[in-house]
Amino acid sequence: MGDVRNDWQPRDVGDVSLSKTMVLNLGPSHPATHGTVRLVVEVDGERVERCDVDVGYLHRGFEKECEHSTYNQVIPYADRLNYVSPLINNVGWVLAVEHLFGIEVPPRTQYIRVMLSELSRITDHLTCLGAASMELGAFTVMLYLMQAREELYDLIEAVTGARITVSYMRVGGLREDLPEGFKEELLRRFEIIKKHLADADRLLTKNRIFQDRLSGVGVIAPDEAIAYGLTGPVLRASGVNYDVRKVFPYSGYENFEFDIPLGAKGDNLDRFIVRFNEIFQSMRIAEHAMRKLPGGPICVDDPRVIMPAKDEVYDSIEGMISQFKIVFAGIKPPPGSIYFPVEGGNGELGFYVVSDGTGQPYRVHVRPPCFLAMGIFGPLVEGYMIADIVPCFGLMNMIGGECDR
Amino acid sequence: MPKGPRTETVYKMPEDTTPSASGEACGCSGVPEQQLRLTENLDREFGDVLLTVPDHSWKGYGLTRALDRRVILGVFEKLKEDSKFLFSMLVDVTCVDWLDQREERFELVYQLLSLTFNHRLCLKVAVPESDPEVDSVRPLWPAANFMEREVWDMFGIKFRGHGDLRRILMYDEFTGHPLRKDYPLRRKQPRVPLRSPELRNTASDMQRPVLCALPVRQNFKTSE
Repeated sequence: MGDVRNDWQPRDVGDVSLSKTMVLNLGPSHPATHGTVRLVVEVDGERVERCDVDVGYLHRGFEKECEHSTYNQVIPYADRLNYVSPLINNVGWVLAVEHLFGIEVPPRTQYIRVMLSELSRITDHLTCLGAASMELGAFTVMLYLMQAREELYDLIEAVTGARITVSYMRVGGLREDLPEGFKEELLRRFEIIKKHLADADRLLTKNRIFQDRLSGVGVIAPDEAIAYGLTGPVLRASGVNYDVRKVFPYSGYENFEFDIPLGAKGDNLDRFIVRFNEIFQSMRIAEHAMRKLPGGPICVDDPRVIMPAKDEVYDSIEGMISQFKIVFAGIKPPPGSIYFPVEGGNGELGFYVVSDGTGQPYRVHVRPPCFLAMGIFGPLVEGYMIADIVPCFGLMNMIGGECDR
Repeated sequence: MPKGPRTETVYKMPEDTTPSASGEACGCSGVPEQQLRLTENLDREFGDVLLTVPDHSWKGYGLTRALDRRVILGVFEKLKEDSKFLFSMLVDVTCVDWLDQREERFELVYQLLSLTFNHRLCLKVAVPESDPEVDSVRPLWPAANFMEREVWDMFGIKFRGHGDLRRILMYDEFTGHPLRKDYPLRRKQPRVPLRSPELRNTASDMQRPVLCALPVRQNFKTSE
């Protein structure tokens, strides 16, 4: 258990020509810092003395833009936060607003949301593991995992119409129901994914180079991880058992049975293996959700949030007015505020929404898990070699859209 | 399935299992026991310091209290260290700009989480426009580093004792604080001249050199 490293101070670089160290710039456009992040590292030979992380290259003003959009118009923006697991962002946003309203969606919607969240979590982990393996040199593993991810994208496209920019959730329900034959297709594709994962496992787990590159590198002690606000696979790799789905269950997660993989040392290898095992747990939840999917409506029957049926819109004045007001003025939650966390691919993804009673949120704040992971990244790589920066960064899974918003 | 270092169901649901999500969604009933205990303890320990404000509408996990900005450090330290609270994780620091709607313009919102007791707390601190400065909680939780930098960047609230308060999401030459309500959405910023490698990359509002300085003419060294 190391001391919590909280003493990083910027330092005047001084007269660099006389110093032993060299200041190098990794990024923001760099093949190994996937996502736009700039790392300014001061190196002494191969060893990193200090590292400063410069985020914000993908800042698009999500929070400001939300103040000028209605609650449902935020959903396409939310897709683009963590763009490898967009459905989780959708679910988080929509649940936060639903709690502001105090409405509860039907059980079918909850199960579909859980199932799609888990599919998104699997795509997130597959991307992270694939990219991390490629950066270590295992290009084949990347291709196997990308092929596995393609299976999931086909499923997601069948449901939502798009692979990444899904915009599928709505406040109070979903855009539309699942297509026919989805369950069989999902179970079939999961078998294919398991084969790809087994191939990747055969290539990596007993691989000398893989073990040496990752084992013992980038160790984060549990109390340090907690002090730095880390959550998700990074925290669980350090041995801390905290998963929002278990501790603060939402959307019916308390009805699902799944395990939480935990690491022992908190090094890169643990982070890799935790994510790898979480894929299997997510598949378990998704299969359960599909096998036990209840019937019923997919939207809550609340005229404040749900648009009326089309025949009512065309045939009745009330329906037309209701549709008009919901689309143009937006849905209006009662004034109040809420912080609602969900378990994203990287950890606790929280939405803090302040409503002032109008159709547009007064303030929206996203608590991005990988932003805090970048907070620890600077102190983390001190003392390691330049080549260790790459797997450390890759397994933190910094997604630019989520970190910078 | 590959064997990781440890893969077992180590999580045990607390006895006061929260009611399923298909129960009450409003904050009025089904409040988990750990939140009720937390409320009692807070009222006993901090009765005069923490003022009750309307809760977040989330089952009881949205327990909210307001406090004065002058006592932040003392209260947070107690919340972190005291054995009844043990808020080991600072989850979020953010700010809301109320402009003219409130006497004190800004409202800092802190979200705390205890991994020991699984209880959450939200603390709100009002910050006036005339003196937008509070104590930093970075000495207690290093997680505050990036989050307070973001609040400075977006709203212009200074954190005493932070030690490294510079812009994080915006570039250094940016003028203004974009998430303030009086900053228009579509304002254009002046073009930034190309940074000369000879110039230090100084954060223009903090007037201090930072590690991001691009180095001045390095001599190539072969050995030392």
